[in-house]
Amino acid sequence: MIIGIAAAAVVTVAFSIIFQVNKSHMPFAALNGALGYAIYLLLLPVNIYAGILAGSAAIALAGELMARWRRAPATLFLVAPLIPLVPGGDIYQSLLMLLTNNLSQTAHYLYLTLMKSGSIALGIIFVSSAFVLVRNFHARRRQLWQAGRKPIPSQPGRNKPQPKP
Amino acid sequence: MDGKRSDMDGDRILEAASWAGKIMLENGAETYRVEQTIEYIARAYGMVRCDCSATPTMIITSLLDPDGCTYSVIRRIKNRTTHLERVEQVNRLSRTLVKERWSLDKTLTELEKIEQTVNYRLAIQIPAAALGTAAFVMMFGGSWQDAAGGLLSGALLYALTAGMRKLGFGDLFIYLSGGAFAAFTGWLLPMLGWTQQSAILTISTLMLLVPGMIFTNALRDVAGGDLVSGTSRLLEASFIAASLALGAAFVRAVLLL
Repeated sequence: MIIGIAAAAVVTVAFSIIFQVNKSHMPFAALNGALGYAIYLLLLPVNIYAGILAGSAAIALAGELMARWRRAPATLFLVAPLIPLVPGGDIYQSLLMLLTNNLSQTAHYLYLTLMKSGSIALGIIFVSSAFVLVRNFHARRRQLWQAGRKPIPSQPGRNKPQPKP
Repeated sequence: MDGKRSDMDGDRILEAASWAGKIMLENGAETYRVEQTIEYIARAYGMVRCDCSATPTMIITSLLDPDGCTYSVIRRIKNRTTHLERVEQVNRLSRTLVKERWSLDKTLTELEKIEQTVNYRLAIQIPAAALGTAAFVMMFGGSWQDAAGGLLSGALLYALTAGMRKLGFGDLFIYLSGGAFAAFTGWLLPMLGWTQQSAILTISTLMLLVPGMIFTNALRDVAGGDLVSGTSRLLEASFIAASLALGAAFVRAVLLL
């Protein structure tokens, strides 16, 4: 289990480098990845879908909070930590079974793929749609504030469209 | 219109705002963030109305200045990569414009700088990919030997896909051949006796190409109500996953015969 959590952190760092995330955010992303995978492993004996759901929801929540705190887009703290939960093996198995003409196994693995990715989706959507509220609140406040402010001047245009006579 | 000259340079404001949006969309930002950034930049320079619609393949922007002139542009997005550092920098730029009064020239040169930013070169990304593959092997319960094999296959796979991308191959073809390559190394290394677990090695190598970024962005788009972007990104993610698995499973099935 400890190996698994450490591996999740390493995977997160590796994907942060592949996705070109700034160095200063990387420890937080790695922490997020380890946290999400730990929750998944803890709930695994109960129910695998509950584990994935709780893991991805925890990653999404922690990612959004880190984004507010570090003043950076949430994607930076969300995408790489979620990778360890992705059911890459199941979809490979389902197509392998399809090509070796083993239809009942194909259906089984396809079902697993859909259920697992659906659980991830549900976890993210729960949290992200709650944070849409925060996003809209900030946008409205910024708009009101900007409406009462003098705009930054720009020089008159070189190719400004001339009004029709 | 009464021929009154506006003291605003609408074309260049439009250029700056839509360019910022283009950089973000090309490098992996969510739809709402693209639209919001364009609106913030346009309003910071005094536009009174900003309507913007972004999908994964294009951005339509239309601005109205205080004198009633309308400026609009369509930016077509052809190639999408993942470079989150650029997204963060454009985001920071739009935040800065709220606090500080940068001239348009400064904003435009800054955008040009951001477009050229490279955070990690390929020489750093390939070892990272190798390490990630090895970590996946350990996560799936492989031995240290298998992890060493993962280091090799992960590095090779990442180098292969990066090279193909540079040559300009189509996306789905890259994923198909990446999957095929993963299955091939997953078969070859155990055959040579270097590793034991063929399936674990293949799956760990495949995980390197899984469309996690597109999938997450698709879900965040759906959650935010951007249905067109969300559904098209979901479709893209499932096509990528299917072609990846198909390439791997095809090679595996042929080798099993």
